[in-house]
Amino acid sequence: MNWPLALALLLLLGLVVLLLLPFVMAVPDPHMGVLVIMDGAKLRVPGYKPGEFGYLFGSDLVGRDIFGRIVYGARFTLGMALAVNLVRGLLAIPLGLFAGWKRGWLGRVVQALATGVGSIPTLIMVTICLAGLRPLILGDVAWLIVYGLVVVVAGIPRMAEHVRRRTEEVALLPHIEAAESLGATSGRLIWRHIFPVMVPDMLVMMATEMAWVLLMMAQLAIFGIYVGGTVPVIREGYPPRYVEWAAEWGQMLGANRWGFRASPWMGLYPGLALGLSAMAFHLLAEGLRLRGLRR
Amino acid sequence: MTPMHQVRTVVRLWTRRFAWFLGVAFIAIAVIHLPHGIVRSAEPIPAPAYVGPPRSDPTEPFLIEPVSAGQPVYQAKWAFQPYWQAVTGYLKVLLTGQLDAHLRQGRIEVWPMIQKGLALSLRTLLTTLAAGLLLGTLVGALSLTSRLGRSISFLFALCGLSVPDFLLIIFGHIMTIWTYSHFGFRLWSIFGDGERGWLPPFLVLTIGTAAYTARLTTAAMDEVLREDYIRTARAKGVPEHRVLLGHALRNALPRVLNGVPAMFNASLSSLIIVELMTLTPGLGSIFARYTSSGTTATIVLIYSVWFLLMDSLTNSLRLLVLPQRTGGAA
Repeated sequence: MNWPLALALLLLLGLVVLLLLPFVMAVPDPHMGVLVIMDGAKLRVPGYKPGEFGYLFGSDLVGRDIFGRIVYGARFTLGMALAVNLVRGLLAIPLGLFAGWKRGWLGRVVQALATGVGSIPTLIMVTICLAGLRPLILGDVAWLIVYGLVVVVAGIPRMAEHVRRRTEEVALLPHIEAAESLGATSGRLIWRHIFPVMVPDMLVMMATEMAWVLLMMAQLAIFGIYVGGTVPVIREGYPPRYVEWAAEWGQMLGANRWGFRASPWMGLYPGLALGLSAMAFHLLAEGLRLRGLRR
Repeated sequence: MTPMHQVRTVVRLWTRRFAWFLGVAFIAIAVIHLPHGIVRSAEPIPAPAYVGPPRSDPTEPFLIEPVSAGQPVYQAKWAFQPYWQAVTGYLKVLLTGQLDAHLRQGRIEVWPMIQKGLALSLRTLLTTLAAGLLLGTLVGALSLTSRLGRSISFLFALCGLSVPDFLLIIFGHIMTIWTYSHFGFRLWSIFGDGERGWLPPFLVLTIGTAAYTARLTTAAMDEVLREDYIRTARAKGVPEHRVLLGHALRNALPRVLNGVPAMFNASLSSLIIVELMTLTPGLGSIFARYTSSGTTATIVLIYSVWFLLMDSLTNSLRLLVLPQRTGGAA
């Protein structure tokens, strides 16, 4: 029995359910807040603890339902991570394949880039890029694109290097030599003879990368770097409270990062969602690797 | 490979790593100082605040959404001159060691804090790396003993790698709140001095490193034990302990060493997060709190030096101890 794969599929099923939940049942609006709620003779201001006033996972500081935000946030966060991963794969896999097959300067460039980029912890590298660029980028859409691009670029050298190494190994197999001696072109050799052998490996790599992207988004959020902007909420007689708007797990975690002791549920559930998603993809990678080994 | 060749390869490796460091330092300083080039021709106009629909009942739920019109207007442009001044100014500061940050409270000297933070972070990192490597190797070695041992080792590695560091810290905080509200004591205070003590970062970072090491060892042994030469050795009647230690572990070692730089990279990222979330006054906390470009650049340079030292040492070890497996190390 391949336990990691079974567990991964179970967790991924959970994620699919989370994505489909708004279509099958009424989920609280992620943007609906409240200023106060009457609790008998008392007036209670948010955030409400899990279970209070019908808030399953509690509420944030302006009374928005965290369960609703987690459910709707799944689309944004998982979609973003998937998009980043796909773009990374589309750029890194062909680059690694060609570098591994051609060797020479291209191979050396990929190797040097991987070591050079790897010489700063990825989190620090992405943080300095985004922190350095943030004041230059105006508007939430532009920021979303830049955020995605920086996370994409940060992972490309490592992925390309992995593909390059694997390509070099596969290129030594007898069937490649046979195809080459029959006059197959480089393109045909790469796409028809080398790449199909590497598909299981690529699946493992993509699943691992998906987990790393989700973890990276969470870690950046803890540093206060996340997508989406804030909106000021006016309260009578009080200064406006600036709250994050978009329902995105990283943003929810990052915006509540200083309140872990006072109101831990605000950061716990988005953190749990991100952590469990990353865990699902880690387990998927492990399960696929085991499956490949057993074959 | 002759000893002379080995020495040459090691020297080439260190030279390349030094060149990479210079490149990384150049890029980091250039990027971090980019905001210094912004010249505002007018003060930013704040966004109009959200007022929402008029309501008489404060208990009535209301929709929170951004105001579509009137985005903040910044009249600014980027100029090279102030940017270049900031970069050269930082390089001078780096030589004199007088680094400061401008906060709301005023100007503060950051360099003494960086020195203290550096010592604390280095101590935390080295202690947890040593503990993690030891524990990880022991757990990884379990996979050699029996089927059960392999399952335990595999499970430990999988759980340790899959559960993110920040989640462990949040669970720790929740457990502390729970033990305090129910039993009157703070969980983290039993061994350390409260939430800022040494225990939370030590536990979280050690678990991560140990899991990574155990995973590397188990995976390498898993692959090596399927090789033909292992089957041949067993068929020839070589004692099992010699097969495992002499054939399998010896050939698995380079694969384990291959993964050490990546593990160190992950440990450094974890260190920053853990320090920030446990309020440990190390480099990670300083990096997040005193966000002047000079502080950020200095800490990035320190982290790069650590990483490249570790990477070079690991690869030198591979080259010197196992010269027959040198592919790609330099």
